[in-house]
Amino acid sequence: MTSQNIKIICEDKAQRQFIELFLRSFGVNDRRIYSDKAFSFNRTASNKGSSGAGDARVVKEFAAEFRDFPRRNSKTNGCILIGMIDADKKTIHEKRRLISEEIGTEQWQNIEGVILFIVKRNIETWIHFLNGNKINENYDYKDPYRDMIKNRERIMEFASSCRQQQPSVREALPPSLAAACAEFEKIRVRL
Amino acid sequence: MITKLYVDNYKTLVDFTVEFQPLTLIVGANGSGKTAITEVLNAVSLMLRGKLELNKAFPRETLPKFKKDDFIQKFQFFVTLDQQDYEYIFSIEQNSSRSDARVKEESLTVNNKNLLSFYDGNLLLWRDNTDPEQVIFKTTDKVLSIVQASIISRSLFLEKFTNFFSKFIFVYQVNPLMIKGYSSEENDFLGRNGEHFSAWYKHNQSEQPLKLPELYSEVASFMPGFTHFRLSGAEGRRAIMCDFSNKTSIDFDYLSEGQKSLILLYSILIFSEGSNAPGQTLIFDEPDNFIALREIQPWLRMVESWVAAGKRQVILISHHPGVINFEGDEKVIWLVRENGGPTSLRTPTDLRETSLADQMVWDEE
Repeated sequence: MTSQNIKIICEDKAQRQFIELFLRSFGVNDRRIYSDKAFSFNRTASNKGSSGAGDARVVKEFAAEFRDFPRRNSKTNGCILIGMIDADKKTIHEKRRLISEEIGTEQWQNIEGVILFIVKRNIETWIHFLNGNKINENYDYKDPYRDMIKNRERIMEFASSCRQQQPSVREALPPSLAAACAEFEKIRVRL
Repeated sequence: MITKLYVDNYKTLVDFTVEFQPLTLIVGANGSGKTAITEVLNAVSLMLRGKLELNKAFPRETLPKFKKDDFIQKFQFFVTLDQQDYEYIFSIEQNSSRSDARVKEESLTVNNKNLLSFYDGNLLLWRDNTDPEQVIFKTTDKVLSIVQASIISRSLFLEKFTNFFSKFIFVYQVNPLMIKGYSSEENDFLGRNGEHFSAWYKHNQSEQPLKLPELYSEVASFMPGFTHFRLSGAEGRRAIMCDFSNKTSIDFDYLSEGQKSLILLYSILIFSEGSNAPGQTLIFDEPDNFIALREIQPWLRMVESWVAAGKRQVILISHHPGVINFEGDEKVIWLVRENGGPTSLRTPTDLRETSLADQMVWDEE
């Protein structure tokens, strides 16, 4: 029976579906994936777009999962921890620093099997780009791009381009997507 | 797809409105009214299939216990089919002393145009054409007149609506203890608890053979080595056998309750997908019962894909944190009751500090 060894920590359902589709494009068995925290209510109308407001818990949960990672990794081969968080109005670097402060070290960034996708500005920004549009990473694109399943093909194409490591493709990506592509290298051999 | 439901005076539902999405999650404490919602939809669907009578669908005991001297129950369904908006309303008057319900009023419209109206023993039907003709019948108030209208009406709109309610709404509360792995017949009706599974499987095996590899593949993912189902035994009592790659066979009846439940849940999605129905609404009442934690989310991902394929709707009811935190979003339907009173809707507060499942544990009185 397949080991359930890929854990997803993210802000909401849309992010969870993005990661699942990303993994599916590599033929990852669904039963390897478990997500017990999808904080869907971070993105209600009342707080949508508020910088940093919804991510405190993801930072905390990701740090907790990271601390548990060595134990889980020793039990299950090929263990993977994937986090996803909105950058909102912060930079990718600022978001990484938040995680480092919570964990107490910057070393988490060098551990194979542990990756963090930082979406700038949010998931709608990425999907808007993947649908062939020009984007501004500081602009808050709205709901038409929330349904990840409807954007399945675009997400899987993106995953495929990451896998193929085509420099020309990566250079054309906005910085946060290019960073996500680079981050993927830390789990490539475990998929 | 069912977009909205209004219920007044049925069990805990009093002057209660709920709106549905293509994928809707309903949560709430025991006794909060979750199942009452599915019962209403199931009752109308079964009445239109001719499998349930009005008195049995809405016995006098379905009046709210906390409310006296109001014997009128009202139900209103908003349905969108092929971009046409239907509104179906009926009210029932219960007898004050015995179970003897009668239909008081009933109407069906499409895009605000009349299709059916029933009042005081008179059934009025309209035709679809540009110069609609009204036809009047005398009829009984002991059954919903839409049941009769579905037979005699010449309206394509009415036919489409009754077809949807009678053939494409399915309420499931899978109970593996009621599933038998053998049957003597074929049946296109699975039953609310999955009680006709073997007959229903046989039906689908012959009607949709191309869907079988997908089902077998899913079953193999939680029953390693499984290859296929095989019907065994003489005609009249054919048992379902599970065959494995190591040449062993297990009688379906000897599977665990969780394995039976999973087989049913995957079968429902896969065979529904293959049925080529114009639009379906599947309602799963606590599908996570009997199922291991690790198996819930793969099935939910299939549900999401099934819904995303278009014109399809799933309504999930769950108490399971693995489902609630997975599927819960700002459109979750959270039912609460205060002091044993009527059901009301609660909007989850900011969950930056507390997940929905946690909030349900700590915030409910």
